[in-house]
Amino acid sequence: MDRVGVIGCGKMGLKHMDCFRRIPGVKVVGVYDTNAVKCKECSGVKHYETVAELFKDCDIVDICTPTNTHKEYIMEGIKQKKAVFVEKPLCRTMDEANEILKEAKKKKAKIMVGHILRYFNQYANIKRLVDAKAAGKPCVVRISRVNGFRRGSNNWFSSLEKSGGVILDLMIHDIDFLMWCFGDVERVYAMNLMSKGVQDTDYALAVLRFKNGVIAHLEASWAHYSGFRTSVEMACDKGLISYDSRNPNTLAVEFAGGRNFKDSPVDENATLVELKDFINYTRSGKIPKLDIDDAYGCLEVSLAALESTKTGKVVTIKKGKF
Amino acid sequence: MASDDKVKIGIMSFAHMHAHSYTAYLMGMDSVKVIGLADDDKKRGRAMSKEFKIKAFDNCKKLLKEDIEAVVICSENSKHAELAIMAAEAKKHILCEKPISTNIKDAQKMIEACKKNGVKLMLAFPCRYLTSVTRARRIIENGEIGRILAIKGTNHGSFPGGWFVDVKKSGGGAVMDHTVHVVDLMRWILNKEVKRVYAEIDKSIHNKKIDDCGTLAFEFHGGVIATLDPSWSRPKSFMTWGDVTLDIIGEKGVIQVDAFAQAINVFDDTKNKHYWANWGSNADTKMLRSFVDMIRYNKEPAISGYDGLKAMEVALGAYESAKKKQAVELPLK
Repeated sequence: MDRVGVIGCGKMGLKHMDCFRRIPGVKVVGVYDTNAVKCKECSGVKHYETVAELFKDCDIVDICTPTNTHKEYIMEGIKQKKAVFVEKPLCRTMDEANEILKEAKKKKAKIMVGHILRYFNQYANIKRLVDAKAAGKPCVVRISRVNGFRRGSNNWFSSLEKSGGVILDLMIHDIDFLMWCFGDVERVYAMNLMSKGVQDTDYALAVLRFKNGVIAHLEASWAHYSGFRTSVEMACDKGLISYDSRNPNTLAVEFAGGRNFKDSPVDENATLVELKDFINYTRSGKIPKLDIDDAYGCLEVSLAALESTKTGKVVTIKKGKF
Repeated sequence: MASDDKVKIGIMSFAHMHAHSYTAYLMGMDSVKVIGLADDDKKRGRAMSKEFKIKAFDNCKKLLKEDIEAVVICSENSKHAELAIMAAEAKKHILCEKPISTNIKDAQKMIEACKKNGVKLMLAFPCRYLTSVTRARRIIENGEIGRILAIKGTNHGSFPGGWFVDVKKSGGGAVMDHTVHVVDLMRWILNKEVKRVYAEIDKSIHNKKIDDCGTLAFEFHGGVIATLDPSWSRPKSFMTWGDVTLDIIGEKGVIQVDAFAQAINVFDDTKNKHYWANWGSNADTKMLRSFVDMIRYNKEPAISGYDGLKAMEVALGAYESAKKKQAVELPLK
């Protein structure tokens, strides 16, 4: 039996807990949160008062805390020889990332970062089409991820120091997806609102140039009021590929009284598939759809975008891989 | 309306395809008389003369000697300056197709010549007359979405071919062709100028000698951030020629304009093609009405030569940025 301990009882912690419970041979031993009240809201699991006690009882830790706290939990996990799943991003700064990578490689630690897009049907299929050159060679790509603003615990998302704003929260998903499709990034230029001091929301626009020549435009928003929406458009030399989450509603339901919803259900719950891939990695050593180098490279580009918002200058990606 | 009271107009060149629709709309106006045309492509001139039943003059000088008050210039971009200065010196008001010219110096000369000769210069930015755009601008002016923070724009198109892809005649490819419309809209909505522009530009879609795709990022004075995709990236199999879109992020709301989305789907087996038939209102006619009224009622042009210059400057800045691989401050030095 694989014993999982979840750190952080926010939205992602609860979601992961539900999924881990559905994987055969996995047991969620308990949860820890710096806010004991939040911890107690999780039903059906043991509530740990200290993170040290949680570590003692588990083989795997799942870190679902604010971004700026990831590093200390990851390092503790490596030290105690636990397998580590950490919600994206890997951590908040490159210094932290370098420290993590160095230690993880030295100790051969199993760490996976939750860049979940690779596990979504639509994104995996877009990638398949790109690989098959369905519309030829991609030239100009537009990708978008918009939502309203969430306050989170203690409004941590609104702190650039803690969350990195919408670039490190939402845009990083699309950066990972595009790097999965096109490889390394040459340079990045980005603009956002948070770096200009706008409070309790963020909106970011970025332009990436990939080493393979692809030009990408990225939009990430916490300033949209009608809910979560994503889109991808790839203009290629022999055609065009496009996807918009607004359009493929295979199910629409309207109730008397005006309530209604639209959905596009699939058999595979992406979070469950992602966590299964991780559990499989911890058991068999089979590298999951993304490894820690991918997560490191993605963070590097995301932080370069954030740097660009502050300086107004283009940032050339130097390292590429750790 | 008695013939003498009509605004008499001449068409200078049909190189740009818009000359065709402009002429048709002008001829449909009760207050306008199209006197004739001059085109350095004699064959094209004769064909248009026959189609519209208007006189084809041997050259622009002869057309300008006629009893006309105004001209519409739809030549290749690189000839705008020469024709506009000629028309201004002949004391004719001018409607000039966009972009105003291919470089700042020519644009300044055009503006100067019009000023010196007391004639009005209006730029053909019909997007200002799109119903969704004017409505959006009114909502913003009313303060309904609060202060504007960011704008994401596109003006996609298809590969135009012809002189558009000859840099000597067009001054540039997709970026020159499709930056100016949306930048003009953003300037008009924000009442601000672009402060800094960054661009990635390529010719990777069609692999011709001219830029066909890219993405621009810019910041306006006052801090509004914006991007624009001017690519000729709509494939032959696409439902329509392209688009004009604006996503406007305000402090209290978001506006999305998709100006050419008023479409009826047609699936045509004879061409094996799915296409959009547009049912929206016509912006060109409103722009031409504004031009004619400017002359009839002695008004200032709704869209000035300066507007044309500032929009083109952003495109030129984008080319400079892509070349230098860094952001460029405006105005250009």
